[in-house]
This record gives sequence, structure tokens and C-alpha cells, in this order.
Amino acid sequence: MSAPAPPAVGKRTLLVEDDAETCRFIAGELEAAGYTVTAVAHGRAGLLQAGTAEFDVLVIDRMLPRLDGLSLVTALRCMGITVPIIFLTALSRVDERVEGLRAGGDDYLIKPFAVAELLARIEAIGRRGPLNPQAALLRVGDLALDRLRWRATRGDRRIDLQPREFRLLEYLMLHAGKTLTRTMLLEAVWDFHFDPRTSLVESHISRLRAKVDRGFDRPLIHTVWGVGYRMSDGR
Amino acid sequence: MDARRQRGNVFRMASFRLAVLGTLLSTLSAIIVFALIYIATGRAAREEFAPIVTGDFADLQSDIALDGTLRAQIAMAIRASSHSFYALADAQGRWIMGNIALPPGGPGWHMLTAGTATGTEGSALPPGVAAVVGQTRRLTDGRLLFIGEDASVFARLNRFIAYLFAAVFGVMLTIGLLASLIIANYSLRRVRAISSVSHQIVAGDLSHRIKLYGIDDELDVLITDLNRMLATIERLVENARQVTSDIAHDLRTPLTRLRDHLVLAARRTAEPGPAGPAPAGGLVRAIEQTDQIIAIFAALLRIAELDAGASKASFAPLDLSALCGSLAESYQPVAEDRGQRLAAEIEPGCHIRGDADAITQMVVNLVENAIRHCPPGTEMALRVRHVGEWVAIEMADRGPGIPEALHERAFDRFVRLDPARRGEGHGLGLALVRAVVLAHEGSVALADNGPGLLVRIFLPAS
Repeated sequence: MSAPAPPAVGKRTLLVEDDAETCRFIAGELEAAGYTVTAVAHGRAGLLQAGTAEFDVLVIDRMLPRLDGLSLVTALRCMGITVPIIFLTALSRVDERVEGLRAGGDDYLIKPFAVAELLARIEAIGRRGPLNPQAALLRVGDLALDRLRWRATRGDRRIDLQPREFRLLEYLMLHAGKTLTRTMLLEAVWDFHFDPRTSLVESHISRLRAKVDRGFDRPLIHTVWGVGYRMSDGR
Repeated sequence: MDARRQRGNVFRMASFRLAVLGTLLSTLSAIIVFALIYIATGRAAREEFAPIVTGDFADLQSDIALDGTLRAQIAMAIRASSHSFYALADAQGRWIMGNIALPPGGPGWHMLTAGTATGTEGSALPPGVAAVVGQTRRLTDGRLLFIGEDASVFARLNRFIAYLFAAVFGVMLTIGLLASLIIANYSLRRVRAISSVSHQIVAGDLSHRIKLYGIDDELDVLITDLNRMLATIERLVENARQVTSDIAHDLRTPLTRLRDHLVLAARRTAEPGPAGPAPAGGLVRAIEQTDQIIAIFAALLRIAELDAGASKASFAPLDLSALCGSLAESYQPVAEDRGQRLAAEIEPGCHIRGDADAITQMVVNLVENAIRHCPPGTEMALRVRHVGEWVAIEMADRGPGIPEALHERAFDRFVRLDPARRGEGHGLGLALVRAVVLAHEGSVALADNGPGLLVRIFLPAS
């Protein structure tokens, strides 16, 4: 987990965050994960940087001096800059999340967050995988999901899925190879924007595992300790 | 509590009732005035004819002195005049002769009209005569003699006055009632304007103000004061919101840093273990505790937002049946993993207006409360159904329940009723449920499920 050769394409990050300590911490963690980070402390500097240099992902705080995050993103989108953007914010209100996404943000992360959560989200939106999100047929190894007929098969075995299990599997397969956090699953599969206090995700993953992986040598659903889950044909 | 009570009916307005009362009072005075006129006309008729009638009596008496028989004189007089009327009766009032019936009532002045002339013998009012005014006198021999004059002119005048009265009465009543309706409608419109603004305010949009009519009447004075009050409330609520988001920013940032430092420390001190590097247990617990503080903070902020009505802006039509059905489906595996059974008894088509996120969190809190506080093997049910104009959401379980004396306290913040579970959860679950319910103008109560707990929520159906 070191970053020897910047700037690696696909990992160029612009971080716009006014709190120096938070900024240093996030930048350090991102660099440790192999990203190159350009950090600026206010909105106008962010606008200047994003408008002149190439980035693969922008991480922007909602509350910024000189030009606030929302206006910055609106301005960038007006300039035709389509780089994926993640908002960081201390505001958790529903309408503020909606506002952020409407302004052109791709994802919304509420402070405080685990760095692993930010990394997972950057990975999920930064480099789009080879899978077309509109594809009718999803494949990971010998697991196939027919999204039109609502049917899953592994090898030649048919898998019966509950509606919620189907959506969970679909989301995992769409992001195959990427680590998905519990929060990402809650937002995407259940549309929960709060932390449930029971093992909702774990219960559903364990049921899905029993259907998808039990009886096969190679498991497809992997637990990433302390972070979340990943679907992949590999390790 | 019923927000959708009938919003004012014209006929029940105070202004309508007052205006109707006014109309009725003026109609009553009109009746009195017309009655006086009517009586005065009658008296005028009598005064007009009294000398004539008295003259007739005198003539008759002097004629009798000349030529002895009264009956012959009367017969002559009848022949001589077409508008004088005579009736002769014996001492008992039995009619003897004449060209009109003897008016009932004995000696004195009488006014006979088509309605009152009901003699049993002799002719009633002759054709073409509308009224007769005259006097009955007892003659010296005890017989009764009535002499009357044709008073048709006065009868016609009276009838004209009566018609006029009826017309005026009708017009007055019609105009009065119409005016009452218009006045009441006007007041109702203004009251509705105030009421609709206050509904919007209750619904969380504090920016509305009541429109002035600009006529400086008592309602305008009231509206000016109300608007001033609303401006103050809006400023205070805006302040509270500002403080809330300031706290969010000011406290969450140091919390983020604290957590970050703990994570860094944990990584630095991690020692290789069988399942990858494992940080010191103390640091892991410290991170968990920090997360717990953050969760409490998030829940408190959420409650504060709901209380401030912040979610009202995102109210939208919501299929509660579908939402609860899908949540029950999601939580059935969680319950099963704990050896519990969660049933869903959901009537389809229960719709409300609400904030989908808040309602979801409310139902999740109910279901998770039941799951977390009930032992394995417990049966529980999530129910949704229509009850009149409301949608009822019920979470019923057969678990340990809550003593009835504590039902009201259960909704307070940071209350944990089960001392054995201190440390688990943050005691904000039901407080948040209540905040969501109140933000949706509903009601929530706990009840004994005999055994177990029943949480019942009513939300206005749409």
C-alpha cells in the first residue's frame, strides 16, 4: 500500500477542505492508498485548480470560505467539467443531501466518516468498471444475473432470490471487484440514510451467501474486514 | 387535533348570524310600523264616517217621530241610498230586517270587511263593497240597530298598505339575507386566508404572511399583529436552525479529528494476528465509543431538525403499505437470525403525505426496538391499516413489554427503561419516533399487548 510513482492516471485527486487538520489527515490517507492529492483550502482555489488541471475525482467540502462547495460544484458543472465529485459535509439533513446531488455531486459523505468509507466511494465512482450499468446480463465468474427476467444462475444451478436479495446481488455485481461499505449498501439497496442498529446488512449478506456460495469451491462474496464486502471471482 | 376538521361554513359564521339577526330585527320593526299604520287607517275610517253615521241615526230618529214605523223608515232609507247599510235586530240580537247582517259584538263601532262580515241572517257584504264602517246602538225599546257606511275606499287603502307591507317585507328580507351571505362570505374568506396561512406555518413553512386588505378594520389590526408575531417566530426558529447547524459543524469536525487520530493510532500500534493486523483492544473500543457519540449526536440533530419542521419541505405522497411491506421483508431475516418471528399484516393502499426518509427511519426504529428488546422465540407483527381518516401503524410484540406507568416517559430523550440494558442503544429511538410522528401531525401511544408491547401510530391518510 505505497504510492511510488505519481501521477498515476485514475488516481489524481483534488481535495477542497478548509479545515487544515482534516485536510492533512484525508490527504495523508489518500496518498497512503496510492492517490496523488492536490489540496486547496477554499472554494475559489478549488475552482481555479479544477478548471485548469486534470483530475480523476474531486472531493469537496460543503462549507467552504470564499466560494461555498455547492456554488463551486454548480460552477464546475456549468463549465462542462464532468469529473466525479464527492461532497463532504457535516450537514446530514435530507434536503441538503438532495441539494448537493442536484447541484452535480455524484456522492455525499457525512462527517465524520471512516477513511475506508471515502476510499470505497472514490473507487466506486472514480474508475467505472468494465460493466455497463444498463447491461441486461451481469456476470461474475460462473454467476450470471439476468436483470430482465429477474433470474440468477451459478454454473447450471438456478438460484431463487427474494426481491431484496436480488437488488443486493445486483448492486454487488455491478461493482464487482470493488469494496462496498455497509453504508453504501444501506443507501443503494435499502435507501436508508441512517445507521440501523441491528445486523440488517449482515443478515441479508449471510442469506445471499448461503444461496450463491454454499456448495461451490470458490466463494464470490468476500468480507473486507472492518470495511464491508466485495464481490469478485478472484481471492 | 383533527387537522382536517371542516374549515368554516358560511351559515355558521358569527358575522352571518349577526347579519341575519339584524335583518330579522329590522323586519320586526317594519312589522310594528305597518301594524301602527294599519290601526291608524282603521281609526281614520271610523272618524271619517262617524259624523255620517251619527247623522243617519239622528235622521232616522226624527223620521220615526214624524212617521211611526221604524221598519218602514229603514226600508225607505235602504231604497234611498246605495252606500248606507242598515240592520235591525231584536233585544237578543236576532236579525229582523235590513240589507246587511248585524255585526256580532253588540253595541259599539264596527268595521266589517270581506273577512269579518259573517252574519247568520241577512246578506253579508253586498257585491262591490269591500268594507262597511258603522255603529250598533240599542234603541229605547231594547232593539238593536246598526247603521253603516260603505268604506270600500279605506279597505282598498288598507289592502294596498298590506300589499306594500308584504312587498317591503319580502324585499327587506331578501336583501338582508343576501347581504348577510355576502358579509359572511367576505369574513369567511378573510378568516380562511388567516387559517390557510396558519396551516402553512404549522406545516413548517414559516415564510408565509397573511395578506392585509388595507382597509384598517379590526381584522387588519389583528393581521398586522399576527404577522409581527410570525416574523418574530420565524427569526427565532431560524436562529435555532442556525445554532443547530453551527453545532453540527463545530462539534462534528473535532469528533472527526478524534476518530481519525484513533484510527491512525490503531493502525500504528496494530500487531500482526491470525486474521491480519489487529489493533489494541482499547483503541478498538475507543473508536466504537466515538462512533456511539457520533450516533447519539446524529440522532439528536435529526430530532432537532424534525422538531423544527425542516423535513416539511420534502413531504410527498407516500405509499405506506408498500414501504412497510418492504421494510418487514427486509427485517424478517434479522428477526429469524435471532430466533424471532416478524409477521406483516398490511392492508394495501394506505397512503399518506410525508418525508420518505423520516417515515422509513420511524418504522425501522419501531421494528428494531421490538427485535432488540424481545428474547428469542418472540412473535411480533407490523400492521398497517386504515382507521377512518387515519392510517394506523402498529408494532406489536409478545416480549417483556413496558409497565403502564412508564408509557409516557418512554418517549423522552435518553430514557432507558430496562436497567439491564443500560449501555446498549442510546435511548433516542422512541424520541425520534415521536418527533417524526409529530412532524406529520399524527399521534403515537404505547399500549399493553397482553403480554408484550403495542406501539400504535396514527398518521393522517391522504
